[in-house]
Amino acid sequence: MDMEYYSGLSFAIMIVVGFATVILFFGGLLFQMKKWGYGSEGYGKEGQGGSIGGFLKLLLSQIFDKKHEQGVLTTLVMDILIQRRILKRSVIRWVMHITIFWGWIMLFVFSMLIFVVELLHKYGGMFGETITHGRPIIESFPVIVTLNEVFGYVLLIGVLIAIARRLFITEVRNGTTFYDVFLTGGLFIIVITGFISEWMREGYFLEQYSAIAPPAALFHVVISLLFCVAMIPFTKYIHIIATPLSILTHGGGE
Amino acid sequence: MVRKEPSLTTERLTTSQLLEIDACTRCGECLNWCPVLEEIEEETFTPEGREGMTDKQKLDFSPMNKLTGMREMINKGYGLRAKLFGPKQIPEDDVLKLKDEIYHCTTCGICGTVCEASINTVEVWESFRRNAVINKRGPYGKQTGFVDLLASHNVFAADQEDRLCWVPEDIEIKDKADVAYFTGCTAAFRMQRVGVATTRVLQALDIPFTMLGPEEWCCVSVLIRTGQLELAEEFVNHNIDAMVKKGVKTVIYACAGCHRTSKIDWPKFYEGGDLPFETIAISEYMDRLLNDGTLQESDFDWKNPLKKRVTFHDSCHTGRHCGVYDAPRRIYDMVPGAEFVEMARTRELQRCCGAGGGIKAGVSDLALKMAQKRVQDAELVNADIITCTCPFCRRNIMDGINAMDTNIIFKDQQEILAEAMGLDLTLPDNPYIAKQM
Repeated sequence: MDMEYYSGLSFAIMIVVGFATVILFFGGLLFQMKKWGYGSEGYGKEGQGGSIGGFLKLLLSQIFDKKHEQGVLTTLVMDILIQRRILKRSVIRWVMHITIFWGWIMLFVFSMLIFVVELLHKYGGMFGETITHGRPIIESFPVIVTLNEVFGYVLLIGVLIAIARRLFITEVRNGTTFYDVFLTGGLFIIVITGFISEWMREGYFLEQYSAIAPPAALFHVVISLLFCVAMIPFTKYIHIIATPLSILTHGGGE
Repeated sequence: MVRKEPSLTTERLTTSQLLEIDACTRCGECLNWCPVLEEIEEETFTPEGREGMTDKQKLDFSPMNKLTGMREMINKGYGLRAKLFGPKQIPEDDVLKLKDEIYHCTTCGICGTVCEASINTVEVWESFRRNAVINKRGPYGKQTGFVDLLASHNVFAADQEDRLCWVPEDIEIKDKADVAYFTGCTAAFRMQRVGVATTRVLQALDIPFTMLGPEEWCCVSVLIRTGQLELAEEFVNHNIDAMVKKGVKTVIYACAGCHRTSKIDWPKFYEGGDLPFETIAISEYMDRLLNDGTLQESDFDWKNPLKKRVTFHDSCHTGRHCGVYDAPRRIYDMVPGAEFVEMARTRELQRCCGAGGGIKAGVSDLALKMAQKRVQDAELVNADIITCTCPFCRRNIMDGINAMDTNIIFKDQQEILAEAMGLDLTLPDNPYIAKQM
């Protein structure tokens, strides 16, 4: 029965990879906060010796600094969720980033949702009538299948624009380092493997390869978790955390 | 085994700045705006020892790659690998290379203005520079001379007793007043015409004011911009105490550098943070008086219509750093006969003239090229006069004009105002007449 879950993957493998991802992510995040905590509290002051508590305390005081011209909620919506600072500078780069941002977030949310459904089904006995056994659990929720596909394409659009920029704009190409390639390339591989593993299922144009759909899906899920979650604190993906925090501490604004 | 120290420490970098270094998305927007990078890419200027750079190597002078360089070096000292096996040593030449790149910056702040991640780049560069000085890697070139010069309490090693030698006899300087005019070293010793114009205008508008005279010490902009902070606290506190003794509530500036330093940097050195007076540009002050009705436009007794096409260079310090854009423009709108025209890059996206950040002293040929680029901006809109509110920009832009075949002239805002009001700008005889720029 285990093999019926999650695109035909072993539930046990998913649990192990999932936990490893969570440990790596939070361990890495704590490590990064410790690194930031080596800085001083303010101009000309002594460093805080890698204090995570000191970092968090300062972070909160700066985010909620009353001197900011706009409220935290406005900054959160306008500068982080809508990313108007990018829009003001470049429409194409805004389209690129907003599609990657929302594509990534929504796919992450849907994945987590399905995982929770899976847990509730397995251990809580819920969704028994809803779930079609012997098929990937996601297929029992057509709305999520559709949305998953839509946001998959949204993410793909963003990643393709990012790759095109790196390839065809001379100054961007000259400035590209392994650090950039790792992020863009990693996202591209994840999106493409996601589509391929889906197209291998019954009813899609690659269904003749359906026998290898489960391992393809396993590959997609594992690298997704490793690249898009576990590696965040250790790579350029750290900007997913650091950039919103930087914007919040400065009070956002155009 | 004793672990080695990181090659680049986090000394002087704040927690926020370490976060900001990781926040750079490398979007490349700053490459479109950095005026130093522009000169390097166009090969109108080549940094010393970097001849024959490839296009990729030139980008090492971009804000984006400077942040990347800092991040890589800090991670080698504080990253995961460093925690497990000890900091990875970085060849000193590599650290010095990054140091040189970060000193090739006017701290104009446009990279921070356009930054998607809202990184306060100017503060990051200045903290790095302080770190470099502490670790005997900085400053750069002739910038080392600033500390010695300031033994005289001004950047020209002039006699402090001469601070007011340029003030015409008929100008009344109050012993105590709500308003103080902070002259700055440049206007006091090298561009006294700006000082004379400012005091003449204040007096003509019946604005009582005081000045610190010999008790006005350098604002220490040059030290803060280049990371040499040893004297900063003493100078800042001296100036603040001197203002307090005179009962000052508002300090006004006709020098953008002094204004920025007082407004943004002085509170960092002053106990408690908040200064016991406000610090504003003279144009802001006039704008306020006009808005609250204390001054009427009719109070400006115009005598000489300008009859010139005027363009305004927002100094980085008053503009991007302090956010003052409209007040100086209002002044030009009032001057009769002034046909005001904007250059292509103005306000928050203004192009730096190249004078700031220690570049005029440290990399003077770069400063000159940047000044020429700004004059070209003015030529493109057929301006007769390029004007500003900063004696230091004035000095650099005038150098640019002198190196070019152009009919454009430079005039400080206060000079334009004073001339239009028919005020006498003759300098009283003093020991610095021959040194005027």
